Amino acid sequence: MFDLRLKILLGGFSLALLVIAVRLTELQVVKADYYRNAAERSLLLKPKRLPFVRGRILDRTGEVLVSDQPCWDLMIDFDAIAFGIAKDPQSGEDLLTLWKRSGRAPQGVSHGSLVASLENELDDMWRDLDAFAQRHWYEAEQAAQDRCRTLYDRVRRIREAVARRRGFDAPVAEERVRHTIMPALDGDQQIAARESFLRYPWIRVERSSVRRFAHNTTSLAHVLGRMTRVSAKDIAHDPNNEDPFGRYRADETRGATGVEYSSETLLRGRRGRMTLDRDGNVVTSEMIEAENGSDVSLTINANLQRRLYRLLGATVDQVPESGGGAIVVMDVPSREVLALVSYPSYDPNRFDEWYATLRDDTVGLPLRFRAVSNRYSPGSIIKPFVCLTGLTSGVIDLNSRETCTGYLFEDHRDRWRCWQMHGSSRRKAHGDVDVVEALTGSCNIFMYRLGEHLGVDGMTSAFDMIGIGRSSGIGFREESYGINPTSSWLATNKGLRTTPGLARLYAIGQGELSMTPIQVASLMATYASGTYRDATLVGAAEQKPAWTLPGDRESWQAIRSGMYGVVNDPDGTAYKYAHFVNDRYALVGKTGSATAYPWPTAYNV
Amino acid sequence: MRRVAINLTQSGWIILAAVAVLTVVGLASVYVTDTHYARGHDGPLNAGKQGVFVLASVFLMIVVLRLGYHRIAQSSYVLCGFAVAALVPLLVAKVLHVDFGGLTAPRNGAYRWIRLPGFQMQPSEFFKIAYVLALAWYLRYRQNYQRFSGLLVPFALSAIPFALILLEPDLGTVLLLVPVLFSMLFLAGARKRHLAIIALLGVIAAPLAWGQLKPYQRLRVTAVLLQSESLRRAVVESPQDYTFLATKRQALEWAASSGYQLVHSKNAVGSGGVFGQGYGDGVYVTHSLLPDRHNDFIFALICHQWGLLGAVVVLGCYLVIVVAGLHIASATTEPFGRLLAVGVVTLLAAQTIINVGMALGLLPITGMTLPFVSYGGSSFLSGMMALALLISVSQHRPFLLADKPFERTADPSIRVPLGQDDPPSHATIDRRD
Repeated sequence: MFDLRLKILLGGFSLALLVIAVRLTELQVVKADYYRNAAERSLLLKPKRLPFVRGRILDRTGEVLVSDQPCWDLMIDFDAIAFGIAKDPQSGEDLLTLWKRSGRAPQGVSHGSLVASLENELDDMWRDLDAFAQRHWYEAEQAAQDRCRTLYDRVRRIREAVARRRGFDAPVAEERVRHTIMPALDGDQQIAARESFLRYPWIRVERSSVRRFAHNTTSLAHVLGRMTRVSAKDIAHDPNNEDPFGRYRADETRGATGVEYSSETLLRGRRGRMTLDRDGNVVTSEMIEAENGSDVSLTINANLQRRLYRLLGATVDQVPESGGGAIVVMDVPSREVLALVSYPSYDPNRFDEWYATLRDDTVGLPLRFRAVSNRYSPGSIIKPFVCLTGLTSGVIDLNSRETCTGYLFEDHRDRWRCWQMHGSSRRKAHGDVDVVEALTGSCNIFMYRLGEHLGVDGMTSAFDMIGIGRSSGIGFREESYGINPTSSWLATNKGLRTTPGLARLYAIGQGELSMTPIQVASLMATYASGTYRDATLVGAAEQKPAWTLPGDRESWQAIRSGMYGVVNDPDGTAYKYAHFVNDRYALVGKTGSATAYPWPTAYNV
Repeated sequence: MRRVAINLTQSGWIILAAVAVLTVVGLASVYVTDTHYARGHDGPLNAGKQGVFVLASVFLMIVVLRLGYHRIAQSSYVLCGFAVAALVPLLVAKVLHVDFGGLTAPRNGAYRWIRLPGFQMQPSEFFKIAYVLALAWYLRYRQNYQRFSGLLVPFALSAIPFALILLEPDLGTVLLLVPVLFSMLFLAGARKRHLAIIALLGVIAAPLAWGQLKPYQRLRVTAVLLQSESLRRAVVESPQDYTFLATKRQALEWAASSGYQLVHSKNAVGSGGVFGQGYGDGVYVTHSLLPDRHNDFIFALICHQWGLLGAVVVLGCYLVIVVAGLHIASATTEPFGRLLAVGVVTLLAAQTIINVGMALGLLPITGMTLPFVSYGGSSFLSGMMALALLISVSQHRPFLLADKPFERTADPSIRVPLGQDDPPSHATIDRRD
């Protein structure tokens, strides 16, 4: 029996040996190639991210307006934030490990008291961060802890957004990385920061870059725009979601306004990846170079912009009740915008510092990009186009005449007056006028009658051709499209039906009709060329859509003569302001002034 | 005291030859890891230390052979008592959080080592041998374990030292001693039905014990199961169904945390292929990617350097030792020697199987050395002592006239009163006359 049982025991050992042999064969023969590859790969360290340099923004002469500059960022581990803000236990454990490894944790104490002293350490850290901000950084708006709370909330939202996309909830990369809490430290600041935060192993000072605006770019602040942190919404709606090197990360910035936003796809590069092996060599087969963003050339002439900004500023400052103004200079054939000035503006390099002041200036509204985002009633400048529409649709012809007595209805002198009859001034009426004379003198009565004939629908369908109610084509997110008060727009937004009264108002560019300064510039260029074309701000933009407006030569001739008269005829409305004699150039234009309503500035406070 | 002449039998020579091969392979592997791993460190290198232990264990082996196993056998209980007593300071240190001036400082949270100047001792390594000796001594003339109630006694007596070792904690050693206990009872003639019932009870109790395990101990087991990518995915996708097994975080971070050692061990083994990367070559030799590669995971390193061929040679050596050991057990007629041989063989075989199994990802990772190969003085010394006892059994001529013990089918009608410990006259081992 003993020998039999010995054999059974030996059989048991042999069975185990057989299992081991099968497993060895599987690992070393069947899957040998897989494991050989895996062994080679196990030498690779975790890949390092290579940042890209965001493209520069240049003006049309090649002057650099915005570029990335090297700097340092003060960063903090997300674990420290999660534990410091939300007392997340897992982060606490990870942080404790980091602390122990750094050799700064107290030795030989129980786990509970170690956690307690870690909490004290974090409390000290918040104090040190605020003290550092006071001394070396600009005075922070918020305490460091509050900023970290914002950051923590954002990462939570990112996690929720990613969970919706993935279909299940799991930690996101943002919970494993360091986050910047004080960006763009210069050389002295970074040395001070390294000294101040040496005792906290979860705080690091790392190389980074910051978006720097060139000197004297106040006049361009709105055009160039600003950067902002990538939000959870950006990540959820990122078109580059599939590209692991192109998609947004929570620790990145993106264009928020202006050209930074509109040319984001051009300016933004693609991250790279560098892998080192354990001997410190770069693994070339794993190397993915970062692709820097492309430079963007604006059609704007920076010197022209600066000069116009100074002139506009001087003019606006002479009128105390005026909040500000805008100037648009546009090249007629190409519709390239040469200057896009909004006054007042701000120094974009000091935006963070001055934000509170800028935000609270409710008179100047320096944060508003007036040239593209403020809607104004166009006033009389729309009149040439209304006349053209009348001529082309046959409502009037070149010989049509109207008599202006200063009032549309003699028995209702308080309404529908011509422009001279406003206020206390009582100047002579225009009398008997044709199209050209009506434009030169900017006669309202002529326009009222023409508007009645054209009707609201007749005019609004024509307004559509000159881009009212649509983007001007420069692609700013802050751009307003103006309002083309079509019958459906009126019904939807105002609950109004089209009436002859509205038609009269629109014919002199008032009422609901509104345009932005850049749309007005486009309209002027259309008067000059007879063609509508989308405006261009970025030189690399593709050919913009364009169309020729209807109207025979004589009709165009008539409205251009009228506009020539505005400046050059002694009866013209601009004669005494803008007339000048030059051998080579003649100035053509149209004045426009509209009743301004107080802008409603109601905010949910 | 008469010295026994060392006059090795054929089995003895074969066993020593196999052990010599294993020792050389082990020293060579420890040496390569030394030159890369301990670069820049002062003090004696691991291979040198191991060499000293090899010499010391040869000396110890000679002493054991000269004494003869029967002399040692008489103090089996005393030795076992000493080994258990050596565990006590460790447990006192653990409970009271004192370390006796660094003498019992824990490593990875486990109180297994007594730190002496120059080397560390692991009392549980020596307890293994003492346990085999004591168990053989207890079982040699009894027959009461053929009844179920009698069978429970050795289990109950074993429970005390097992509990102490579990407290260290050293689950691996206990798991190793359970098969030793079973195989010795089995060979001593315990009824298969009874052993099966006890094993079945153990299987039934396993889910209860699962809940009692520490999280890290459970993670050792789940880490092996999580090798399966489909299981990992299932845990990640519906963690609520797998709360008894692993959390989602554990599944997601398996390769970097609980499965790290296993992933690299398999990489090291698999990348060795059939012929291996060559001695001193290969990623896992030149870089310290695999923790404990000179120690618990030395088998992975051997497979990495010498491939399937090297693995076959090493496993072949163990097979030689096992077969020779069982032959010795079969050849002797002396009951204590028989059980001692079986116990020693099972101890070495089980330790080898568990160690190799964990390196290949078949079994959970527990701190267990590969006998005669892994770096570790206590392990080597205790292994050689076990072999010395085994060889010593083979040294003694079988009593040709005696009945072979444990051969008859047990007769349940034979009632042996507990406490009868007098040896029958035909089986005396006292050679002093």
